[in-house]
Amino acid sequence: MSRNELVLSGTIAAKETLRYTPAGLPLLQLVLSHQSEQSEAGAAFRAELEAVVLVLGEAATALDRQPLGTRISIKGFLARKSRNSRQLVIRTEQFKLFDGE
Amino acid sequence: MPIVQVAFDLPLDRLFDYLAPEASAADVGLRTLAPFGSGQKVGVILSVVSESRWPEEQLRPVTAIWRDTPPLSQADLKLLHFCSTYYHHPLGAVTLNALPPGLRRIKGWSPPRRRRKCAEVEPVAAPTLTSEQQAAVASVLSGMDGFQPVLLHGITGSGKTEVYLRLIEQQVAAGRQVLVLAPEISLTPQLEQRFRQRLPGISMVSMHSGLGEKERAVRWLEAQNGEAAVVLGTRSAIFCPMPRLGLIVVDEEHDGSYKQQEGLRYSARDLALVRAQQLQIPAVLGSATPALESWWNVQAGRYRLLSLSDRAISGARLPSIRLVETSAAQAQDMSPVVLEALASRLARKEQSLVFVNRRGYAPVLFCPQCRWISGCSRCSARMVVHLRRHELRCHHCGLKHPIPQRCPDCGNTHLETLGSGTQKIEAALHSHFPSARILRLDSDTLTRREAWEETLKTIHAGEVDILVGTQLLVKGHDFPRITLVAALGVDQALYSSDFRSSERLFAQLVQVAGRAGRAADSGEVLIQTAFPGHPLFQSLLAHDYPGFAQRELEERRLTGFPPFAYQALLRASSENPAALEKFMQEAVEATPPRQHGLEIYDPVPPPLARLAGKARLQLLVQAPHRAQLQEFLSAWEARLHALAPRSVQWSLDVDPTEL
Repeated sequence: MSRNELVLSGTIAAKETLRYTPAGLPLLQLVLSHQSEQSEAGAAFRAELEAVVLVLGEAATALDRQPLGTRISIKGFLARKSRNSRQLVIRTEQFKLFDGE
Repeated sequence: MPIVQVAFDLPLDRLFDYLAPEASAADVGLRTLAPFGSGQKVGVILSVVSESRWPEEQLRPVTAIWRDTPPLSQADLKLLHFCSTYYHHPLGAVTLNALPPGLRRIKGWSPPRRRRKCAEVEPVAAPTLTSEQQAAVASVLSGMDGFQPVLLHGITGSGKTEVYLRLIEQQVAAGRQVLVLAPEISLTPQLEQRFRQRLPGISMVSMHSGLGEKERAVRWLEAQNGEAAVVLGTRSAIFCPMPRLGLIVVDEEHDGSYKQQEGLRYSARDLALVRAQQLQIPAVLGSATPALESWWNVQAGRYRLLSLSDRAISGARLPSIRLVETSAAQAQDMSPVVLEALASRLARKEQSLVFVNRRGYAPVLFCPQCRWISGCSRCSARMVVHLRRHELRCHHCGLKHPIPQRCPDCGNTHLETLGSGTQKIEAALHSHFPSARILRLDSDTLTRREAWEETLKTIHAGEVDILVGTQLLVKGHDFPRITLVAALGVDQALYSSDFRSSERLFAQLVQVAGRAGRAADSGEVLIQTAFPGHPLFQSLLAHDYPGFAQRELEERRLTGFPPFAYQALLRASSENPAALEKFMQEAVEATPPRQHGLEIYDPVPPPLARLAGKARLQLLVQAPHRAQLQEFLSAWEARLHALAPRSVQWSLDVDPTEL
């Protein structure tokens, strides 16, 4: 089976207002700002990125209560934003508040 | 022995003979109960003869001839005959459907024990007529004896109703009855109230679908025995017997509700003219935006035109209309200009109206991941999102089910809505103006007449800041406090393939715009569109109906559409698409030999190609003359009866208004 799993931690850099799908499911779009030390070609590399995350369900309501700057870790998968878009978003229903390293 | 020939509500174009030993010629037009098959049926006696074409021993006697209500008169029957012939609908079905349901029951007629009471109203003195109103009244009065078709073209707020009232007063004083047709009065209690206030002491009945069966029949009988001097009714009131009828008024004569869209597909406006001609009395058609057919009849010299070009309340001016250009994608949502205008009205404590001619939350639910859309499984239409009740509903066949949690094709939960209905605009208004009092009015919120009356009171009392509503809200209502009207999402009509859609849009926008500034304050009207240069809008800005009509008529002349041709549509539907196609093909082959000029188009699916699980096809026939079309239809209809299998339902629509 094709795999598509992703775990990413970072701080909440931006947050849209909590919305609901027409069926009533909570939905929150946020931007996760990530920094980490990776190793590449035998040397250290500082990876930096900002990723759009679409949080669905209970997790959306819970994350909506967290202020900007909160460190979290999410587990989800990648999908295109919409049929015509080449932009990727991380879709998740799971997160953990993340203190320390 | 006397034999009665009886019409029943059957899809058969024939009468049935019965023995009736006591019947006489005076019984023609009476209701009768007669054995039919193994049961009994209510019918109407259309003639009394001494010989039947069937052997007498095969005839059964009638069960009863009901003499407790008066017979339909020769004049009434003449109108029904015309209706049956012209619309190619069986005479029995036409006749029985003209009766109120309460008089069609097998158990016979018994008057109700209690009557519905009319609310008491305070009489209101007649206002002084403007000189134009005076001239219009005088002009109609000068030709009271004889058929006289008049088109009263008056801008919104010009006081057409007051002209009707004066004519009614005069006719009733002369001992005659008056029939006033109005679109959907059950939802416009204001009109009835105004009539009662201005015509105290005149017995008047209103007839509409909001009445109980008995009440409706009683009122019908009051009209028939002459007790009711004035009948104010919707479409079907055109068949109401009125022995001393002296005048017919058709208010908002262009309104689509005058055309029945199922069964007997008649136009009450057109029948009003036929009835007036048969009785040799005047007919007054009133409108701010007459149907192009009526406007053309004026130009061709068949109708007389009377114009009211000023607003009747002194000081009231026409609203200023402004177009707000938006991209096609955003024309359904409120633009910043509209939001700003609403905010300024709120600050001044004035009422605004946002017009969105679409009920529900949004017209489509769709999946951005795979582009699935919420189609109806039974119709070629999309299911509308109704957020309040968490439902998807088909506005065509009534099918509903819960809004899906996820896309049925790809499983995506992040579904979105496209476009805006009244509910979405209402929600947007709440979030933009949290402290404003917002009221949504559409056929989902207004299901009962009483609720409507309550609602109107709160609006008039100024307890509402912003009204959001569909066309229901703009039909003939006076809201003197409204100073701003914003119309959203009107462009859809410009894309329509129906050649009447721009005519309808123009009428609708004039109607919508007419809601602003009916009192002394002049109002402002904002129309959002992606096509501000469209000539339709230019005529609208200039309040120029004649200019609009001229251009549209020119187009119709070039394309050979009505009023420059007469049309009939063969509509057919079936659960079996193959049988449907075969029938339509045979219908084309079975067209009788025809005169030059008569055109037969190919069978095509209507815009709604499937409805409630049935496939549909239609075939347009067009002729330069009415008589030519009628002759063709008579011959063709007989053949169609023979051709159609049981699995195919078909009907002829003469002078169709929706293609």
